[in-house]
Amino acid sequence: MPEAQRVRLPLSMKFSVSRYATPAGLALCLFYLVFSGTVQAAVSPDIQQRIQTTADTWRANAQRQQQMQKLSGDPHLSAVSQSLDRRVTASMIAQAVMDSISRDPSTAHEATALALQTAPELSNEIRSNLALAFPRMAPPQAPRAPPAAVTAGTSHQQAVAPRRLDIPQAGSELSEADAVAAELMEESPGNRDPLEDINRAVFAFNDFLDSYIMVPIAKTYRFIMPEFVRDMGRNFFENFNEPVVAINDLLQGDFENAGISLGRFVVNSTAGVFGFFEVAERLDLSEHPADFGQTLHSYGVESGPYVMLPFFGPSTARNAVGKGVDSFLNPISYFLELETRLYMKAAETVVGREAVLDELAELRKGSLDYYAAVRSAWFQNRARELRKGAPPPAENIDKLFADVK
Amino acid sequence: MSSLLVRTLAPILVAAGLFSGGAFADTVHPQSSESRFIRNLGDRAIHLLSAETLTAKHRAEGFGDLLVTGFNLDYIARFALGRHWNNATALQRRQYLSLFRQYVIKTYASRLRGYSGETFEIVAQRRAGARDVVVRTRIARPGGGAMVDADWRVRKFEGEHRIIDVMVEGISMAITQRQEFSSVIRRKGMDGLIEDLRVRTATVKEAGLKN
Repeated sequence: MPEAQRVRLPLSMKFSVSRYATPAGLALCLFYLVFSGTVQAAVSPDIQQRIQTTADTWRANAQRQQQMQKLSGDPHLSAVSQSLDRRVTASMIAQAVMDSISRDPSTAHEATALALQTAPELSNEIRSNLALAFPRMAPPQAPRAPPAAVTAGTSHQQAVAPRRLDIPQAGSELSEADAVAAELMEESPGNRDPLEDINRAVFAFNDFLDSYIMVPIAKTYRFIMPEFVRDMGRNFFENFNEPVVAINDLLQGDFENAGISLGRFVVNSTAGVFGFFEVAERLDLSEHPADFGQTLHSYGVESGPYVMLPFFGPSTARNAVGKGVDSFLNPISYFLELETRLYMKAAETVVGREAVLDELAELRKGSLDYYAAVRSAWFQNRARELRKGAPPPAENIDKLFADVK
Repeated sequence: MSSLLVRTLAPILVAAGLFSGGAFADTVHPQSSESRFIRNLGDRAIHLLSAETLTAKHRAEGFGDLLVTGFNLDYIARFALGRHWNNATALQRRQYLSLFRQYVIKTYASRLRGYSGETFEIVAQRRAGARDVVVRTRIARPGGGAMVDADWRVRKFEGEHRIIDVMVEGISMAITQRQEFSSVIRRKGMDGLIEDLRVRTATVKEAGLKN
């Protein structure tokens, strides 16, 4: 490790921490990946077939109905029959799961996961059906709230990326995406932040450093550099990160997005002059986020508690490991010397801080509980990144608004 | 620093009225009352921003008016409390509603003032749940930079349209507020929340005063 020539920069510490954390983190990850998938029995093929057929029939019907509704134009009637279809289909799928369980109780988790995977749009209804029959299976975090609540997130987890490893989601584990959904459905945020007290302390420390070091630097940067230079800076670092995005897409088996990302990198590096100019957007190659934390999420790795890291800011255990691994993933960085990389990292930090200068200042000034506001915003933003920038699943949020008045 | 891109509140600005047909399923008719409402609100906002003869104070007041007439602040207040609303006494509810209103006007009106020159496009809209329509607008920031999408959730209250949520880049204003208040209530109780709101709204000057 070339740590001997430690360059004295204020943020060089961050870099060295991540290098040590990564091997341990990777080992933990692999350990978890290997052992989380074991000790589950397989669901018999006829049950699988039943679930699949039921879901397919329902979808085909729903599509037909939609087409008919477009012609006739009566929204209320179709809404009623749609919800009836959903309930019937969900109860048929749940019945299949229950049959599987009565044949062989150890298939419980596998069968539930399969059902949810096959019909993610119905996950709420399926869950409530199962919870009625098997109260023990309801996730422990939601004793009073409807069982559908905690699992609302699984539906959009499925949409993140095609799974490469077939690791079933056990009913009681929550990922970051689930955490948002769980919070949406009235779970106390305290459950999702078991380390809250120490997090708040670290947050206060981060905030102190931020106010006295980062903000002055970012403000100076903003003062000195005109807008177009700052845009170039942002574009450059975003482009520099594209190889990492592409590699993570590949690791998730998402070849389409990997291709887009690679295309963006090539176009922006050449026509956009080393990434200073954003050209790829005009060719309809839009950016999307991808990092190793997201890759781990697609493999079904649990997120771990919310953690406020010194210097780095908000994270979860999985996300922290992800960031560490990402720092090794960029092929370009192997052609650069340590000193260059450190200067680049420092520059990237300043550029990134300047980008959110106003928003964070407003949040800090206006919020009653700055820590909770940052946590909430971080979770929502992270959930979006895990969906690769796709909009949130409408049903969760719609239901939330429907519940109030 | 972690990559926290929080563009929390998109301002109400120009709704240039360009409707480039959206591709949402369950789309609402293009000239729907909701999209006209949003466009109208946006026009009023841009009028406020571009009128040079207004003093800062008048501008802030204008935005306050826009907030009150365009949003349903009481609904947002109840939403932000969630289930704690049911546990609150009538007195607490009254205090909370009035304080919340002042709090929102104070914090969001000052944010709105900071924006200028962006353009809006109404891009699409969709039905959301039984009562709501979500209007998606695209904001182009001046001087290049990526476009930002803002989703405005509109609901009819007694025949009048009101905005009840704004979602920018996956972050919803109402939900963030809800989680923040929920955290305060857990630590300090309902009275603690009311007290905090009172402190926040009691400062004399809006801008430039570090709370």
